[in-house]
Amino acid sequence: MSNYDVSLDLDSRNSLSLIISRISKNSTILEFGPANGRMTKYLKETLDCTVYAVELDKDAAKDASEFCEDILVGDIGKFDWLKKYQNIEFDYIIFADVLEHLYDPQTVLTKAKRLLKIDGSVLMSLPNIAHNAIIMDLLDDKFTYRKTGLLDNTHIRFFTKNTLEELITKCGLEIAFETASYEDPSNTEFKNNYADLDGPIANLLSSRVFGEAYQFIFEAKHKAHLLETDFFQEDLASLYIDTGKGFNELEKVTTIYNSQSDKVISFKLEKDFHNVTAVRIDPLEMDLSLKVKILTVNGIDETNNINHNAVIIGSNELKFLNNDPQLSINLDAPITLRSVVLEYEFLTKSYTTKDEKIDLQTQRISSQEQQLEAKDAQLQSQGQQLEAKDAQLQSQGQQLEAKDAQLQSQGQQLEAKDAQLQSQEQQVAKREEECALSVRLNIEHINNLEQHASNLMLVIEAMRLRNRLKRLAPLALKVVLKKMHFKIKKGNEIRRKVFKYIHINGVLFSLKQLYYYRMYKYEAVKFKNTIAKSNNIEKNHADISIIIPTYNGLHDLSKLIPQLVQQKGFNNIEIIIIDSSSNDGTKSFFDNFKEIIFVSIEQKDFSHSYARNLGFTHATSETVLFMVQDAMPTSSAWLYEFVDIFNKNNVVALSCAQIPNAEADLYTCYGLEQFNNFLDISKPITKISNKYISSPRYARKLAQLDNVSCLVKSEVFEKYIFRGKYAEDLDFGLRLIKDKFRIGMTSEVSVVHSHLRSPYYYMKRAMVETEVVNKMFDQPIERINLDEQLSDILTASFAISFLFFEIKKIKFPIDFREFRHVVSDMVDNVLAREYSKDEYLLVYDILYGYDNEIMSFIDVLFKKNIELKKGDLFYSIHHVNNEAMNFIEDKYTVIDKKIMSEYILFILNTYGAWSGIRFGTFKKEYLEKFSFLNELFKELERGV
Amino acid sequence: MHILYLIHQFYPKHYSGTERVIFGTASYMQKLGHKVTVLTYSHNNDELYPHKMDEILYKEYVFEGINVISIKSNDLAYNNSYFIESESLVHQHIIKKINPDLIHVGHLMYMNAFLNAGKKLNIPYVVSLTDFWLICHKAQMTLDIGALCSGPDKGKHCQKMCGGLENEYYQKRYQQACKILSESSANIVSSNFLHNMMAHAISDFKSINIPYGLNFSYLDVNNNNYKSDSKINFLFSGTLSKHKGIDTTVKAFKSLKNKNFNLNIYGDGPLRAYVEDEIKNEENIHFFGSYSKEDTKKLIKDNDVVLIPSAWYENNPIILQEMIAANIPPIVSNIGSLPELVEDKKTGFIFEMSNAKDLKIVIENIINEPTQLNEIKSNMYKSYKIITIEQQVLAYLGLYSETLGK
Repeated sequence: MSNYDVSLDLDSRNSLSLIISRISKNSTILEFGPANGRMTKYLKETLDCTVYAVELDKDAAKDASEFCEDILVGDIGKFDWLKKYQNIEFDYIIFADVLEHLYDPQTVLTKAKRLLKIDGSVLMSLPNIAHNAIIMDLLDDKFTYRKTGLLDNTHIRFFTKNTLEELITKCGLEIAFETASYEDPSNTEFKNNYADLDGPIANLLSSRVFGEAYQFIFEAKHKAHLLETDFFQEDLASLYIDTGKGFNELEKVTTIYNSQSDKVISFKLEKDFHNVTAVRIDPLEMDLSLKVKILTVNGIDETNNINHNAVIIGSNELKFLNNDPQLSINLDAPITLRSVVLEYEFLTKSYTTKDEKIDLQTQRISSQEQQLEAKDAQLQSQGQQLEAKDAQLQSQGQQLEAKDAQLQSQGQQLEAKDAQLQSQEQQVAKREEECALSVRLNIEHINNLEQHASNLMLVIEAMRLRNRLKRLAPLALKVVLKKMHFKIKKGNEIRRKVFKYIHINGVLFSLKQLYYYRMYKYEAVKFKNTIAKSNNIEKNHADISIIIPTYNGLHDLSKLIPQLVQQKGFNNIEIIIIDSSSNDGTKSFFDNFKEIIFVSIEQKDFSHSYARNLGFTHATSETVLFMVQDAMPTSSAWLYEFVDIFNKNNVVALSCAQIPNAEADLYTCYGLEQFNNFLDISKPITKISNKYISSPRYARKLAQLDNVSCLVKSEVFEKYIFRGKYAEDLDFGLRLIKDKFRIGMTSEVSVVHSHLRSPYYYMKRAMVETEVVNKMFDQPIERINLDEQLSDILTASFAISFLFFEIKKIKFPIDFREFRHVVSDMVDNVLAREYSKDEYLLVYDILYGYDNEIMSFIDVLFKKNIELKKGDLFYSIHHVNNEAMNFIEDKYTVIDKKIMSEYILFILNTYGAWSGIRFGTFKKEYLEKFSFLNELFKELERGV
Repeated sequence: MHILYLIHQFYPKHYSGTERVIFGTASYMQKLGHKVTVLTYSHNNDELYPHKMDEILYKEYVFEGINVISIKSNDLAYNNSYFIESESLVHQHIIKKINPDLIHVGHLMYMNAFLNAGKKLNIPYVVSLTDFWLICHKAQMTLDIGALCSGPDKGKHCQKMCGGLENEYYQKRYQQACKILSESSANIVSSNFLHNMMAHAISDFKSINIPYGLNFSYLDVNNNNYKSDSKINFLFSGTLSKHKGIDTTVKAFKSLKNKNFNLNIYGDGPLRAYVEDEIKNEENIHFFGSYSKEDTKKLIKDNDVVLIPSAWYENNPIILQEMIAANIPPIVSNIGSLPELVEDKKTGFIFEMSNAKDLKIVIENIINEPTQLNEIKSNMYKSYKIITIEQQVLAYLGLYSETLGK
């Protein structure tokens, strides 16, 4: 049986009963050090809790396991429990008299906190090392460990209230409730009495707030809970009532009062007590001095009938020399008790020191002595009377011989009595001697103590002052603040609002506001209309016709048409739609616009030239705008400004620059920027050409017109009209400058137009465009090795796949400079390494994820056993990477995954376009040499 | 050019109107080849900010390709009602480090110290207004008692009607706002109403009206055609609260005798329980709870008429613009910017704010004669005032260039 194997006492105020009082039913609990499970049993059986436990002692754990869901036998400090119970959230974690046995309670508490529910509690009880009993021992140079109690010989760490609070705070917890169990020093295992101390020391110790706190019981929670405190602030007086059964605990009434400030103890009787013959008041359970002013029972003054167990000193001051002061009244006749009120002039808690007690006792003894002397004198006079009677009897003697013997025996009795008195006298003398001796010894002892105490006093006074300052001031403040906060929080919505206003604005302001509330009229503002600034166009241009070929473009047209209709600066805008038999409801959409000319053609009849030329036949204005369905004006003044430039520059045809839309990716933006650079219109400018220069590249730049938005004079167009399947706009421009007409390209006005296209689409478009343009300009074609070029295209696909594979391993987001550095290294690596056909699976995996169509194309090349051989396309990856990086650098300082995938598409789109250019340039030669390309090229030409 | 956007909160945690506008602007500015940085405020735990300079906590992140610098201050002066005046060396240091050509103020809550730092460094700025915060410390122009506000009266009216500021700050705050708006290179409003409200408060207020742009690529169009017996689906989508007018809506629809309609209610808010209780016996009124941005296509497809029955100073709600762009006729109340976008009985319908009887007449008229919607829809296409995000940003860019003299 262990030292701690005692039964559970729930009736008195002890650490376990206090802990249990904090626990709600049906909780999940982790109990550290349950011993044999005395509390565990109660938790499980009475409170229906689920308890987990950690216990060091194997045998105890066996007993406790009966009441546990699970018990871990082992050292708390090894933290096996942390892992074992990591998935449980506990309502309570209990350390009942446990933490003081641990080397590192802070770590244990901190880790245990992780298992605590968000609103759960850690309950702990710890002995108070600063208990007065221990201080009294220390004053006596004693510090003796014991089997149990405050100085249990297995305690490793010791706490006072302050250091315990520190421990809890350091663990990141907050105290939510605090209380203590109390023991008078004489009731502790140390059995120390205040009475044994010098007066000032006894008073000093007894005035310590937590001097008699035997164990502290704390409830700690995760931070942000309010403190509830249960430390006694007031005094307790008891009224005992005798209804014929004597004073007893059942017929007792108590009341709480403040002995320092109240000056009155008044008992409220909640039930009737009949036939009361006596009452007794116990003002406090400690030594005290009291001066009664008046004591009334049922309103009748009974002050003069008070019996007490005190010594009277001075002017009726009662000095109680024990810790059970009593004032009682014996009533003349039984009454029904209604009220008992004790008013007093002062009541001070003071411990009477031993010398005072001796003084008082000496007084008592001397009064007893006087009583004995009086009794002696009385007995002597009785003896004389008896002798007189004897003489009388002797004179009557002979007659009364029969009675003589009797008288003789009476005489003997008197003698015996006399002897008794003599021995009593001796006893008194002896006692006197003893008292004198004891007084002498005590005086010596007191002198010694005085010397010792005066040394200690300095130390203790300093300690006391420091502790007071440190503890009482912040505690009092904390309590006040928390109480205030609690009250406010409890208040209802209005109270809080009122409080807030008053807090911020003061009382007067709030009253003023209340007044205005009542006076306010519920009305919205009536404004003067002072319209915000916007650009106004004053005069109008001549009418214009807009021609838009369309196919299944309802989504775009339903946005574009209202924008075109709203264009400012024209009396009339004529819109002509050439629809290639759309099936998405385009036709019914145009039912809303009776003024729009809607022309339907068969899908098979469509070509870029045919549709536009047909549209022109419906146009009635002097200027025509060719436009596409997915372009968008930049503002409602777009067309006005565009036509303005057209007119001012006196040109017959004018296109404007394109800018990307909000969905555009890196490559799209780059492509448009490159194209504008190529045309020398990267800054807002209008470039006019009116002559033909026979260099193909130069001619292309000069002749560039763009049907995304192209203004043309009707009288000129009539003569030239569009021709050909593709690049009809470029062809048109070329013919115009050859005939010395002025045409232009402007970036002073732009149109929003861009697409998100796949790499495969870029391949298609590049092939078709290259073929057409080359034909247009009669580009001389150099002879090249087609096998090597095809090998190059295949090998480049390997290189970019490996590059993408490496890039995906980078951790994003990443600083741009680092990204550039890392990727450049990767590019160097993929260009330097050799590739084998065994690695094709990875290529397929990577590229298929980005564009399955371009992968199918590469798949055909691979399966036709094209060799792996590096060429200029392969090595151009280095250049493409540089271009992409330079373009990114202007915009981004940090690269995230989104930009990374746009970078990858940048490389892949370029790969598609540059492969397409190669196919377009040598289409005829390729088809002659590799028959399998027939199918692939047909597919590439479709739908551009 | 390099533009710094100041905004009080930003993606990914916050995505209401102002954030949408600034994000859309910054993102498209980048596509147009300009450098952008967003400087914003956040309320995370201190340990999530890797840098600390005096009282300012600092972190950087990327959102959809945009560089974002997010700061936090534990200084008590960072109250959301105040213009933070006292810029420190840290604010200046951050602005110097970003080194923008121009500052675009999206919202000044918490951010004024940075604007002040920018002014010290002679960096010009433009202000775009999305709410009333500059002239109303509560930003909504509603009084503490719930009524609509009649304007700040140089801060005096605020002091009378609304709490929340220290006494001496009411008029000072107003003066600060005037100074900020008069020293800016341009003030952008998104509706004439907002301009009028500001001009009502500040007599020499000047602004340019650039509405919010929409990203059309996400929007479909509803091309329904109506016959005389078509059943009309009405849509209410928004916060279920009194100031959004859901109570008026429910009252009006419940009082209808002709039941040839459906009312579809989307959203959540304080009046949710009220709505659920009111419509529990109504077969034609359906409640769907809150909806996400992805549901917009479905809303456009399933509904014929949209209701914006607000009872407060509504300033250019995006839902109204989206529905107009989707060619869904709107019914709006006669408050705020709402009547600017709708011409009564021509491109939609207007009723008197909070007047259920008036709203009932409008609805009844539509249900009894659904074919009139065809003409309304046609008219809507022709008097289109909605712009795209590209157009909005290009207009902003025009202002930036003008400011920088380019």
